[in-house]
Amino acid sequence: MSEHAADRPDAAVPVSPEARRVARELTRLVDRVTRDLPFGAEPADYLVIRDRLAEPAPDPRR
Amino acid sequence: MTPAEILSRDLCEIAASIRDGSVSSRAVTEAVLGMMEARGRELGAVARLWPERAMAEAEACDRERAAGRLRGPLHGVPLVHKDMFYRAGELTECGSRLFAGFRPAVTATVLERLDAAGAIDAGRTHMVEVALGITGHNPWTGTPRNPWNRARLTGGSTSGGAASVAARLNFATLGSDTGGSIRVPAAFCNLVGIKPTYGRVSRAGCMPLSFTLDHIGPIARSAADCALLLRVIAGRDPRDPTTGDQPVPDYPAALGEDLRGQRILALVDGLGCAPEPIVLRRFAEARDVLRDLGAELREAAFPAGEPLNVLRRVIGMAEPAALHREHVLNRREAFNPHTLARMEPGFAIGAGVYARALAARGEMLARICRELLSDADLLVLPTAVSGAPPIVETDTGGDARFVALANRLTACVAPFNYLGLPAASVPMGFDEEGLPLGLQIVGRPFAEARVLRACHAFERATGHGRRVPPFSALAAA
Repeated sequence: MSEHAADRPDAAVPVSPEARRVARELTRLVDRVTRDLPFGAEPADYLVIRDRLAEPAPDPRR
Repeated sequence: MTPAEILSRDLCEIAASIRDGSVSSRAVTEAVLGMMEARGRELGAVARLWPERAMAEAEACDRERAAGRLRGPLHGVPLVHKDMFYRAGELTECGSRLFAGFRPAVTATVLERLDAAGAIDAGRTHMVEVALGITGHNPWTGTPRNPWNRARLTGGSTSGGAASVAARLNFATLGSDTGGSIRVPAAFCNLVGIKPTYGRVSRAGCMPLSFTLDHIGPIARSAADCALLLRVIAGRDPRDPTTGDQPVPDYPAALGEDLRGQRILALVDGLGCAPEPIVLRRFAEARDVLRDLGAELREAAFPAGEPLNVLRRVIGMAEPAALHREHVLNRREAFNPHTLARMEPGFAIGAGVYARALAARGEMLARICRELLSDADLLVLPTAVSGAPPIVETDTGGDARFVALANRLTACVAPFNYLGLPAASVPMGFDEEGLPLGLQIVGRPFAEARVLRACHAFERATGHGRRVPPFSALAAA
């Protein structure tokens, strides 16, 4: 990850050095934890997976 | 019934008493308004009350009941909610100077559903500024005090709501949970709170903080009370396209006294934080209770606690920053420093990083369900690493110490916002100083019935939730 990639994406908003440090650290960590993310994964997958894994409602007769 | 007798009843009991005519809605509403005005303001919990509106509704409910008509299961029950649920034309200030004088044009779906069930909307409680904060600090409105020890925090962001319910001033409250804001105040105040599955409860007409992480749910004095409220507010809403089509179970009917056949996985490690020794002791005792209730209990490490917290933090900073960009640019001085400290890194997070954190959400949900919930029905872990911290000593004005405290207090709860799994906190006992602790119970998507059943069985077996704090409507003033 390049340092300046996470430096000032929204340059109009003043950001403290501490906030920039936090953003850089989170950027590094996200790079690490999403390294194996499958190509083509997208946010809308979430709702599909949520519904596929949904627990059926309890049987009211039991 | 005296006001104290009325307020000693939990939500299910008082709703039944109003329905069967053993107490009037007018008497109950007067008791809530009177105690909220007196003791609720002393706790710093009350944003505003609507006595004229509430009393008119109560009298209408009593007339309808006399004529043999009941609006629904909450007929005539007054409730005071967190100050972020919109009611058209009514003041809604979201704990923030930025919303001073704000009167929304729409009414939240959850309030419309409570109205249809007969509940009376009696006012609003204080909250953390724009719901961005887990401690409960809010220098602008004042920080609500914990009825178990008034020098301690309530947790946030549903701070005043939790304080009012714990102190027996209010039967239950609606809260929002973006990183623990229902479950942590519930734990710190000895209450039950459930963050449902993402999409189980509509967010339409609720102040947004993070469209990916926001959840709406109840805080109450028992799992049965939460079940009753969730039954009313859950379900598909065309105004919130993230809500699911899954049928809403009869949550109260699904409650049970034992956990025979339930496979429970206790997450005893890998949380990305170190709970205090007393929390670990109470958690060990809780596991014994679950075994005694008939659950098949196994123990494991949480395989992705820290990565999930990282992914949630990125989204939990970037989305509030996007929502409040114009506020920060034009009215920066109006924010509490605590809020800015939690939001500001969101302006420095790149679009690609945010997009990856979002794109990974489905994959991570599938992984956690595969690794932890394929041969377990429920997960259990502590709600928070400690009891409620002191108000004054932890108010370091949004500096790095404050952010570190916030990260520590959200470590056990926030992963389930990212995953969108249903997660509840139920009273787990007390620490050496008499401060309440919480047990968190988590299920598969849309498994709220199972989660609430486990909460109910646990609270019936332990009785922790029946204890009343030293400061309450039931204690002599």
